[in-house]
Amino acid sequence: MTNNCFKVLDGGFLTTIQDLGRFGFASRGVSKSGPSDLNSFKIANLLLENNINSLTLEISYGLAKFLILKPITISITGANLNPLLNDNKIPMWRTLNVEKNDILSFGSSNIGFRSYVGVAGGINVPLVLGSGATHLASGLGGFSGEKLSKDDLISSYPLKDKKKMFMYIGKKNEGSKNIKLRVISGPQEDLFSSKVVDRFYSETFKATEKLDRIGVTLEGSTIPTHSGNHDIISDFTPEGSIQIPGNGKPLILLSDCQTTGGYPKIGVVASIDLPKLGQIGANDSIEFEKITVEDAERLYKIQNEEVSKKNISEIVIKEYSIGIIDSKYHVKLYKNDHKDSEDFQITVNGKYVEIEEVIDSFH
Amino acid sequence: MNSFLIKNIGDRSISVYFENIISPEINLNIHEIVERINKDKKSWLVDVVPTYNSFSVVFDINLTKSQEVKNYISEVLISKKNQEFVNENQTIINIPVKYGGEEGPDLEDVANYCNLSSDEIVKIHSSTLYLVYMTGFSPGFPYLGELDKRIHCPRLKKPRTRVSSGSVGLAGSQTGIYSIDSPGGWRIIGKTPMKLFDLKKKNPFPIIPGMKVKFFSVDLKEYTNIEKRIIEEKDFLGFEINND
Repeated sequence: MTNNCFKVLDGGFLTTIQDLGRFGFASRGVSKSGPSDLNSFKIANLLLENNINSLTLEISYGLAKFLILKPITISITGANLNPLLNDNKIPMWRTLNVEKNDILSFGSSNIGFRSYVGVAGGINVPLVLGSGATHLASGLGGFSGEKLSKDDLISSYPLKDKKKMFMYIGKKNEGSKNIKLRVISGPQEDLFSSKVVDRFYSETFKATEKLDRIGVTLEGSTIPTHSGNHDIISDFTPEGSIQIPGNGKPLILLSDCQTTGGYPKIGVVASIDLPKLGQIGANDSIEFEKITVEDAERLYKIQNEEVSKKNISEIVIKEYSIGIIDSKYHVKLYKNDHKDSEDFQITVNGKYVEIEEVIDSFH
Repeated sequence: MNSFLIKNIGDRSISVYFENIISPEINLNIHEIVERINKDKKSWLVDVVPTYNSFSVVFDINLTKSQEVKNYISEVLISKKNQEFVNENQTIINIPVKYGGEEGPDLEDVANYCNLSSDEIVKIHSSTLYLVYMTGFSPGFPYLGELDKRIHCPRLKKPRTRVSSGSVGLAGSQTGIYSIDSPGGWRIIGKTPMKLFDLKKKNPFPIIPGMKVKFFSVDLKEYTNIEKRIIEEKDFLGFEINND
């Protein structure tokens, strides 16, 4: 039996397959790659009770379209790129059952940049150096090391049981027009005068259109080194490095970045804010705030609790039949069983409807 | 031992910087330390990345903290002071190169820039024993030194959008080999049939930091023969040079 679950009708702007990344080969020049927004990626898998390292789709900017080839359970997290199922709006941050011949499509958005589509069981591609993550520059992993394009067939691991339905009720990383990044001072901060460093942390920068899975170039006042020389002896460049090349424009490195680089790093984005990098879109405002490593570690622990099973809640379905004049409506209410959450969705005759106003809660 | 600085690079890696110069002594010292850390196999260790005059330890933030990793690195550096680690990596790999022509489109420009003949460039380039300082840029790309001062030349003003894998390039005081087809701005003086990143082989990375390499000149016929051999053999590790 074939386990193909999607046929790509349109790869959109850029769609790749990602797991947590390719670890342990940085000393050989192999990029980590993996999701640009780790937290949304994790939640896509947590919702489906998948292994946390399961392969998902990462959809950058949107405009992708897929034909569903067999009944499967999926989850969509990250930026709201206006996902549709057969041209009807569908909710994100929960599990959804889709059927054979359904069409899943994405619009775009000016808030946030990347969506993740998790598939129950996980997407199945051959592992390269222990990972299925796509690294475009070196052509590794994913679908022959390339972005998805029309007619690609994507398979998933088979599943026996129909899964329970779940909803995520924690903090979501959906992107924002104003992004604040917490930063740990970098190993070459001392190449900049204290005045320039102060300016770096008080200035509001703007993300340019030069952004991809490798990096985001920012615009704003220039950040020169005091010697004017922006070449250093190449050293290690982890994800989140804020490099200042010769033009003085900050370049923030994302998960597909090279393992080494020759520009000074004024700072490195703290782990808690790395997922935000994946949601930066062109023209977003970017500000930096310096924090200590100790604070970064403490805040990471708190965030890690938030992005966990603790905030995955089972969906309770209540069904109603409503007759209004001579029409009959079959209404389904999807609500999670967490008492503090007011998140819910409604379908009328099988289609999700937008809720304009809640007059009374459903307790 | 040399003086060093231990610095945070974010909250999940620590770097140790030695004197701010490119020197084989400092770099060899780094490879010895990296080997020791790899052997220790701490549960939180994700990666150890040697570069020219620094190395970085990447750790799992869920299993440890920066301060603990710094303490561990300090211990390793102190014990290094008291005993010489043995660098077991004494391998010398001989790399066949077809210099000039289609395989080395920039050889003549380099010769002109350096006021030497193409033959002299080849002779100088292939008579040095190079140290693999680090790999980076792309999987398996070796940064080699030291390049003879007579053949230092700047990068191309306009990088090529595609340099084919195996191309041997020069950039400033460095020489290296493109490991995959990629964009690149180094001046290409030749090409090797050796694959520096080959997932079909048991060991995908034949050249790793700390090794020594030497180039030798081959003609197009030899190039083609060697290329065949490389495809057929499971684990091809370069050649012995017979004439010296």
